[in-house]
Amino acid sequence: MDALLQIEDLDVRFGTFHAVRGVSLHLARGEKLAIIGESGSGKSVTALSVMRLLDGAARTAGRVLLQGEDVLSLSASALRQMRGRRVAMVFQDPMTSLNPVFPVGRQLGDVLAAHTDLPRAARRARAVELLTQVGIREAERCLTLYPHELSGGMRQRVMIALAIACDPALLIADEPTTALDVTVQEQITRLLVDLCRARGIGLLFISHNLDLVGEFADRIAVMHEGRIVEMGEAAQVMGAPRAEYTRKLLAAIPRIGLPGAGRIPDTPVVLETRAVSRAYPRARSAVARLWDRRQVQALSPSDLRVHAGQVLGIVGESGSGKSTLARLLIGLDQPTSGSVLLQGVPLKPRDRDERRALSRRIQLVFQGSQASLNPRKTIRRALSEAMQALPRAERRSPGALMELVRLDPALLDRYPHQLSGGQRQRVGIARALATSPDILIADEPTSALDVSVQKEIIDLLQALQRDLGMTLIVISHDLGLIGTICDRVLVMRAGAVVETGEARQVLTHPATDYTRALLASLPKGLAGRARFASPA
Amino acid sequence: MFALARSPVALLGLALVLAMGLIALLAPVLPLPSPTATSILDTYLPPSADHWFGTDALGRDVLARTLWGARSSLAIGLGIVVIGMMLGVSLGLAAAEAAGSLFEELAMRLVDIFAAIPVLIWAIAVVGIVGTGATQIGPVSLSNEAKLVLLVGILFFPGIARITYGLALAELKQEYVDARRLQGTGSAAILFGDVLPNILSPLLVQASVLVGIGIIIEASLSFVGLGVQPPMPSWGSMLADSKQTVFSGEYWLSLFPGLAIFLSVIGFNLLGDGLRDLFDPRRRTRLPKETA
Repeated sequence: MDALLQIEDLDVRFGTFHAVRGVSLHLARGEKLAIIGESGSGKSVTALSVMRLLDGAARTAGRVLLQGEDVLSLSASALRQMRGRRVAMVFQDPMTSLNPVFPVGRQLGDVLAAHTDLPRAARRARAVELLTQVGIREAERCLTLYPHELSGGMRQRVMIALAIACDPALLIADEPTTALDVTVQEQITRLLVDLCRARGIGLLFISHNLDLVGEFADRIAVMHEGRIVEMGEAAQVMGAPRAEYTRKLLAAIPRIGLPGAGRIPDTPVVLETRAVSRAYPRARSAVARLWDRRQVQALSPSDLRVHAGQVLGIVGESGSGKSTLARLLIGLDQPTSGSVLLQGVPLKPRDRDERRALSRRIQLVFQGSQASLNPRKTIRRALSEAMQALPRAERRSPGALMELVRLDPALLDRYPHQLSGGQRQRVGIARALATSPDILIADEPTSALDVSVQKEIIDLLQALQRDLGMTLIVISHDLGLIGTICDRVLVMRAGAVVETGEARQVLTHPATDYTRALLASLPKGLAGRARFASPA
Repeated sequence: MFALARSPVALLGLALVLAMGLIALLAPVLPLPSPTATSILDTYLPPSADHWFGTDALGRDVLARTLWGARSSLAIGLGIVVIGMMLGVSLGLAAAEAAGSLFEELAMRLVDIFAAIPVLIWAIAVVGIVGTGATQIGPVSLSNEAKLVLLVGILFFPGIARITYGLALAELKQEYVDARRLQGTGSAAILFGDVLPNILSPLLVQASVLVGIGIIIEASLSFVGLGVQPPMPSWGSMLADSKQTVFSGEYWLSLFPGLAIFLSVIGFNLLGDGLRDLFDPRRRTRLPKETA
């Protein structure tokens, strides 16, 4: 077999942490191999060791053969020759992997200057050509732009142009679409796959998203706790998985289920907005605002009604205004115009007593990232503080709250960093429930979590909503999540509500092109392979 | 704090700072001659078994004066930083909480104004006007040392305010702060109870470096006669007294107080560097970021 990359018995340790345990895999010329795994599975460490990008603390054993040559024993200068020229890499976050102080043209020019003998003028022409190849219109103009002037998708296109600038034989893409919106995610994946196919580049695609890689990968390797638990043809891994863990991953993928018929009409409206809008001044400082009165409209006047006991989903991509709406609904922010009514009474969250009263009626669950809990406070303290608005007699014990979210009360004396992502999010939910609110808003409750944990959190939210009879508003970019648990759906785009209706109706018979596009861009696993078939 | 032990440089700094602190605390109980007792017969004695650091123009023991000098240097150096921290942290936190308001703008421009005043010239000017004796303000009598602490402390607040402001702005955007607001917690409780503990590490680093600068400022002011007043010893005034003898061979008069200033300032600086390394997550061993 014509092996482009051959990894034999790779073993990586950081101190006492055994990140990669005896991984062996091979990649043929022009082949597309996907490595799937959750955080901590060792998939990124494996990729980084191919580039020898691990820091000094890593102790590596085994062999990484690139076109027959052992990468782990290359000299520093041979390594520089290898990087960029033979292997290139695309990272997750194009904002941090592009240098913010240089324009795109300069960054492309630098790479070309380092690896080719092209004269200056030719480098520029080549840069334009590369940008055109990655689908950037107005490539000339793009050369002069800085990374912050580009959208997320454009930045990732530039990263790909940088990666293919010197015709590498192998391209490593580490979660290249995770930071992007679904509609953009599809375009970028397609671009990567098409480029690699056209140029015969081997693609090593690292992802947590089985459905996404199922659409194009030739083979899939599933990693768990540093080991490859299953590797095989995509159709076999996705269709007839052999490993228990792969089956668990596949089962956890939120697919658009068909929710039961909505329970909409009978209950009264508990929360509604009347032509609520929010505009932010463009100038940040109070003095500059005296002459710069320009505003950015984050949310156009929008109406929304939530009935008691209902589950409402708000879907939108980044910049759609969904988080702005959430902050207005809960009173963390004040509308520029219009009003938010809680059981018919306008919110006045600026008032201290009102805020305390409000905390018992409506609460928020955050993304569940590290930032959602104060790193310096124990879980016990965080939960006790959450009940300070309650009269002493109504306060529950932190242990009871932990049991409510099915967590072991023994975790109460831990600090947030000593919990897993899923445990942290359960604490976040417990904190929100501490005041027994009638309405719970969950803002992207699963987006910071691993796939297998996402399902547990969704199940928990759903069970709590049912048992406690709460009204639940779920905000997400993930149609799969929304479709699974919501009665009604509100689709937002560019600060405006574009569609609203019963979940079943919106997801099966979308009324607007945008909703249709959102639905179409969802990764569909093996069923989506037709989209990536070779152009005839 | 035990993690400091892993950095030899920080450990050295910590040892120097602790040694200076111990000396300052224990100076009154150590078996030393009085730092102010003069003796006409024992002037300009070189270092010996009786007088380890020698004696000065009035026959006073230089060892006793150097050790006693640690008291005023450390007290004033620390006092300056405590005043600067109290003002700077409060203002920085308040300005960050009021981001986008007129108060934020005014507060941070006030910081700019104070940052533009040269510390030494300001202290010399004010002490020159109110005099070096005790100043009576209403019922409070301020000694010259207390005046210096207040005067210089006020000028130390802009740097601290800026750092606090920047760190607090970032911290206030964290989700847990919103969670606290949703519980009906007031701004002050959030700022001092949640935000401050999370930004304290870089502030402590800055504070330890500033103590070193405070010690130098005290020495400079004492050198020009505006700081600690005689007969109480201070490293700065001891250096000033030794001016005439620098070229006539009585090296011990300038060497020991100079060495004391050097060691204490470098102690605080090394401690600051060590703390920065300790607190900076980028300098710790790092696992590659995995995402899912």
